[in-house]
Amino acid sequence: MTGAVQYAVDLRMPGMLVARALRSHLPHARVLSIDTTRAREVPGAVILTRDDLAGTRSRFGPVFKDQPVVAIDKVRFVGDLVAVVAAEDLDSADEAISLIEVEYEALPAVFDPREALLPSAPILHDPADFVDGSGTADTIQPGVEGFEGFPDGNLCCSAHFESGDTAKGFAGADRIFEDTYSCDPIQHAHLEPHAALAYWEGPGSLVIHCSTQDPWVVRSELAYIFKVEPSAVRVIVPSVGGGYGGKLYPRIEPVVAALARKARRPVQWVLTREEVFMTLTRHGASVRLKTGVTRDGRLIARQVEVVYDGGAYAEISPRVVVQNAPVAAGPYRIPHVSVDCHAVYTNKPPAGAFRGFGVPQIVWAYESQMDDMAHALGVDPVELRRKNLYQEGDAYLTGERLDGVGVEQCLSAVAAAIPPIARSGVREGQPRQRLVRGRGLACSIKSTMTPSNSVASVRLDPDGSLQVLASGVEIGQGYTTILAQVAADALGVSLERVRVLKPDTDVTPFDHGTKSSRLTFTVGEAVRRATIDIRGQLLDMAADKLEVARDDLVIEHDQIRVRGTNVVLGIPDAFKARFGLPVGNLYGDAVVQTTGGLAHGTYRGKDSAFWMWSAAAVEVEVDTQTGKWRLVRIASAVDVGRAINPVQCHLQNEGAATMGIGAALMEGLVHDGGQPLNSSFVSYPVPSMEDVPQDFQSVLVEAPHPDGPYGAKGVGESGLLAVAPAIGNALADALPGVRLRNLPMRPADVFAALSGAATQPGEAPR
Amino acid sequence: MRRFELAQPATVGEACAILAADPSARPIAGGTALLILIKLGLVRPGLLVSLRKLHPPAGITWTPAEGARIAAQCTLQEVVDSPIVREHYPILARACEVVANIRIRNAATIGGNLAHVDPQSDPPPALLALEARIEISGVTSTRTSPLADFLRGAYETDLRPGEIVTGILLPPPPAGSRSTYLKFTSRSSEDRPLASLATVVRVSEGVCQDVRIAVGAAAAVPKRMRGAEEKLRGRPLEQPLVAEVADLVAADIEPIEDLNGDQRYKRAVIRSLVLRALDPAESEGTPST
Repeated sequence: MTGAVQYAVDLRMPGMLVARALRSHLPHARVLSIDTTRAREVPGAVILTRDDLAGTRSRFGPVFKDQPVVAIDKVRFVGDLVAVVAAEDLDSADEAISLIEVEYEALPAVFDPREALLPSAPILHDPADFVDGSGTADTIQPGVEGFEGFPDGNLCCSAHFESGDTAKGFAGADRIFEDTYSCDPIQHAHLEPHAALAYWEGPGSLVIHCSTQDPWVVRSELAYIFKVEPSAVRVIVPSVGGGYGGKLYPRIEPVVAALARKARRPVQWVLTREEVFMTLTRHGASVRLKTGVTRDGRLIARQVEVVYDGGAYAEISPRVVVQNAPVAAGPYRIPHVSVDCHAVYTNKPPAGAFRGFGVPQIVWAYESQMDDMAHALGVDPVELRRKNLYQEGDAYLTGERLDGVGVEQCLSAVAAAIPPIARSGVREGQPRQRLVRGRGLACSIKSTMTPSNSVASVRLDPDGSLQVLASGVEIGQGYTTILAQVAADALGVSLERVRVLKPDTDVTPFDHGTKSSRLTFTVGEAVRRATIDIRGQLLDMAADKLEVARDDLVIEHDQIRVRGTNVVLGIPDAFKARFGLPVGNLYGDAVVQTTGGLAHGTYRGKDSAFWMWSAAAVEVEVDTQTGKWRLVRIASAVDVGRAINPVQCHLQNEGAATMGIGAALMEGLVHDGGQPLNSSFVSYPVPSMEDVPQDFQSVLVEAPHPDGPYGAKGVGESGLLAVAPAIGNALADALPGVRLRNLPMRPADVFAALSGAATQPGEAPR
Repeated sequence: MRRFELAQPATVGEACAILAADPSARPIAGGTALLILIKLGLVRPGLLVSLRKLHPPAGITWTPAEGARIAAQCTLQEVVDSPIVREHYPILARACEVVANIRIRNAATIGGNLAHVDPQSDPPPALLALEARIEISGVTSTRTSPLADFLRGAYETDLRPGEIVTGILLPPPPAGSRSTYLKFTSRSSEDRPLASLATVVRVSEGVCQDVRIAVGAAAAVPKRMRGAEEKLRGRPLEQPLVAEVADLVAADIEPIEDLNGDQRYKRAVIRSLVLRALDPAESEGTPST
């Protein structure tokens, strides 16, 4: 009634304890001893250390089981969990934490992924730790994805993709461009911190309420860790206050469950903001990009090397690497492509899924280079892109046919929304104005996790209300509304009749996770099919009662009507006609399994159930005295296939683009010797409303996809991908000779580049 | 969050007595700064003394002879909205208006802002340029101190045990003066300033009769730029003098290097702010950024 929503942080249970953690202050160290003698004297304190992991599989992870529930032999980054304490209140838990004595032996640490690959680098993980198994089928499918093997030293995983013959391609190129681009790691900054509340209903039966985007993976991983049947683990997910990938895969759930097991009481743990910063990041990355192009502007060869900084644990890095190798060459028809993607262990917080899943770092590289090439060739940046973009029905690098290709429409829309800056006369030799403007644009491609699986179960009650059971998570993206719209439309009842249940693995069916912009496409389609099934059952009941053919019936305004007449039957009456009383239910179920996957080794097949296409254009104003820049206007166009809820599509687009602005201007985690320097909101601001221009045009392009419900595709990530390079290109347009190649582009960085450009003899003519 | 006791005295004398009796106690007004420090574990007071319920309540008064008195408990937003401040001290209204966001401005007090001495804060340099004096009350007596003396260093004041800030006294501004407050942020617009500049300039008969320049945020404490003021006084406000003054101000500041920029960068920013504030052609625009 108040509109208030319950999150995992709001939950309370009788007898519930609350938790605090002791974390490593060293980036890499052997844990020699943990003495809890004095901490145990704090009344009510229950302490969990490596000594309490007996009877469990002590390591977990969605691909490699390299992440200990709490530190076992070593700590691997500043913030790694050493011990956790549950107590009656946070003060007692804090007191006990302060009394735990840990003896470390500091080890050499490595923070730069390229340095981590040198033979002299300290190794984070003992190869013997990986004998446990290479992964779970829930999250990665080794045979299908061409992924196999274990980490090799600090090289967590690699993927190689090839199409055509790059040597031949470069030999035939008129110009070759080669540059390296990089991105600092950033943090998700979801408003709600990670939170979980766990209790055991018996020795083998665990219940956990948690702020996860992926209840079924939490379930299988907890079952794995505690050696119980998956069905003995019940994962319940309340509303989640933002995710952006930061709540995919188990985070704090294993340790909360272990603590509750030891305490024999419910335990709730809510991370502090500073801890959230140590829990997961977006991969820092460096991208070497070599592109061969003909004089008339056709891209003919591209070689890409992406090195992702994976941090201390593998997390989902292997999938990031495997999923992005086939898309790293961009949304362009390039006959000769070779890609190497690597993820590397370093002594920093683990990196994992983040809106865009490793793609924004690559788009940053290829779209920055695209403008430099256009400039060098004397071609308009829009025309250079148009000449090379994929078109509807094209064959992709993997051999598959591309359906629903809206990228050129996206590009045209943003190019028209934000025209080039009109300039008169020559700029060289003129005194520089304090405020100058530039325009830039960029476009992108992203795949979605394929294959994937979603199940929906829909129940019609005799009162005409429709219950939708599915395991997608409402993380603020509007999933609940979309499912309700789909179900209401498929049955022919009003939106108010539909209720979408929250995930509860004892009740709601399987889903592959709230990730990869997949829910509308998969869960939405499953709900549509399940509801159509119910509709058929209901019409059969009504046809019997009314003694008409089923095809003569329609459902509208919550009633069944004989077409072209005033004869109607209410839904309760249809139930009464069948069951004698308004009792019973009608059930509809559907399983949607997106088909595809790439053949091991060759990477041929169907890479993506649908493709995300987007483009962004911006106009920036730069203060040449200080390097400070602001967005004058922005346009972001995303191909949504079909907008089931246009308002929500616009909001997703705007929200994603705003995250792109943050990554371009102000966000970037800084570590010094492994110590975090800006891991709190005091020193790590995120965009505020004032940082987003008033002139913000969100454009929805609709290139329908044959497999999506009503033609819809996912839209959760698209709007983020092209924003940063569009801004970089606008800065290059505003400031001749200035090209920033690292994100973020802080005013101080622009100033430094400007100072360099000003002192260069023979400033690049633009 | 650490557990603490909260005292809510009704009078200044009572508040000072509690603070004098327990040196570990901390006064709290808006709490926007102190609670962050407590949360981060940087201070761990067992007793907080709330100044929210003190009598007389917050208010801003003005007389043409004495100028203004702003009660310390006034929130930053009350300062922004005060007709007195807007008419006579527009740069103070401006400096308070650009602090963080409306939620912070509605909680943070002007007295708390000064007593906290966060190096990166907007109001102090504006108050320096306005030649503010600080009214300080103890258990039995009240004294005043020029703001420049009150600000000892980062997070450091000349408050003695048992003393609190109770008011800010502003002399009447020089008649016919023009003032500017420029805030420079390098990240979010809600961010604290990387550098800021407050100027009060009175030009008559073509020359600067009166000039005050204060730089905030770049160094540990905001600073009046006496050398630059001297250079301008009695001379026409024009190029290349303004550029020379900008160079002088930038050179006179010892910026703290941090993630937002090194000394060279921060000096460039300060130089730019001075050019904008003092260049008649530039300073007509909106005094922000």
